[in-house]
Amino acid sequence: MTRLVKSLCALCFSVVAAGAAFAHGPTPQRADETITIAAPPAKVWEALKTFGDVSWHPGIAKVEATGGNDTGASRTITLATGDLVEGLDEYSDEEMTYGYRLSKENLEAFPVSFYSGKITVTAAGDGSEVTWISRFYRADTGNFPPEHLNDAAAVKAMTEFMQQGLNGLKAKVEGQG
Amino acid sequence: MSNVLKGVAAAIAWMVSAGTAAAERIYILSQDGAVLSEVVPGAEAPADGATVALEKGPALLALAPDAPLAYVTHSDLGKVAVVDLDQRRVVRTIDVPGSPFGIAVGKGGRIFVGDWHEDQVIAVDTAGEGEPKLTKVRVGRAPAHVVLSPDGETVFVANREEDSVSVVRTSDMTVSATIPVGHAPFAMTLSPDGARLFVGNMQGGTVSVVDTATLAVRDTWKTGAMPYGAAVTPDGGRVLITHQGGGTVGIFAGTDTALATIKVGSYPEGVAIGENGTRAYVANWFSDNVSVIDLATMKEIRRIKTPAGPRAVAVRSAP
Repeated sequence: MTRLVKSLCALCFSVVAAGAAFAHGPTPQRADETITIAAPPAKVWEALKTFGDVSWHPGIAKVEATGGNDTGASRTITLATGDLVEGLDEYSDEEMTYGYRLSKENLEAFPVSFYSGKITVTAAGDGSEVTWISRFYRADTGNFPPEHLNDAAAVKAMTEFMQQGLNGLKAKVEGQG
Repeated sequence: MSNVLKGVAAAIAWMVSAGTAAAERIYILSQDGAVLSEVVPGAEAPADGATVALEKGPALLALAPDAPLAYVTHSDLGKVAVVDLDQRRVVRTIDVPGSPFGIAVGKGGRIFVGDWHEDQVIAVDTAGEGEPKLTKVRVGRAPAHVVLSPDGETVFVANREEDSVSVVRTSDMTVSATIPVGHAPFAMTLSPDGARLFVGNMQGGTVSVVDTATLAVRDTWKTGAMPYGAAVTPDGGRVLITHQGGGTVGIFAGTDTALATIKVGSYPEGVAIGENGTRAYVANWFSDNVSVIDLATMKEIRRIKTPAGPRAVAVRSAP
């Protein structure tokens, strides 16, 4: 088979895969972002702790939520590109942490086929540290993903989203004086 | 060090490893690090040289029941690597179409591989020289874990996107039944006698307990969020389920809620039982380590450091 035919086949395959259901594929990716905030942990957690309130994240225009902070609660976040529905999997006021996962994918809004994450506030010196970790899959889980739907695109989108959120949280909490 | 001394040291190292060859071994597969690590019970890391470098992105692992071999799926490459555990090297690479993910190994080198994207299970006869013979059977959407019954006659396949388990007869590779289970079945394990199949439903947060004689769900257990790994003790008395959400492992003892839930690392996945059912090993994918659980006290007693992204663990019994 010539190289041209091979790459055409690869292209056809990826188009077919992109048209099919976006089952999450076998190779997970990760992102791990941390920021220090000059405020006590309790104050940082106060800004973060309501699952249905993400006003600290500048990339989220709107949120609608049901279920409060109980596991199984749901929130729909609206990005500039579209909506994502997330469910609450674990929540601990005492440990100042919650974990969530994507309930319904929307690849036009966000180039990741499935994700889950956990955000935690801990004490660090006189202030706080916020750690946000995430596990996710590329948008096109076929073996020949186009560039905008591959592992690198997913890692970039998730990393930037988390950094933007943490910077927003820091600005919000530190700005309160 | 002189060459003579090096030679003596190597000889001593060989004698020590040969002298302990009868002991149990723990094998840990790291996806990001692309390494299979061998660990002795009680150790906190693989010994020097006790690792096997693999091609990119190894996903899951199964040990042969009758040979010192491990079979590793490479979903993104369309390959299965065969590792000789005594020689600690890849001795063969088999091309398997599609995205090979779940894997089970029967006697005589017959392996069963789930193809995640093409919704099929492929039996590969690896015995002998030359191109292996492939036999395919269509199953449900997105086959995840694949397990083989102790008698080798049946393969069970978790169809993640179809909320079902396919039952495949290995003699002619046909689907003999499809069992509806919970939402997004992923990991599975069989009781040692083969009578019960435990299916972790990832999105549902449940385990479906399947009676393999009647092929019906006889019980449903409530687990933590995102059950992602499953193992049973040799006496069948304990079932361990890892939870990605919350980073815990639940220990079940035949009732529909966990007897104990133990904190492990972040994003735990595969779990295996060792030392005659007294230890469990849990691969903490995000934390890059393996939790060692004492099943008598139901406490984490140690972490084994691993290369990045451990997803699967297997224990090779002492011969």
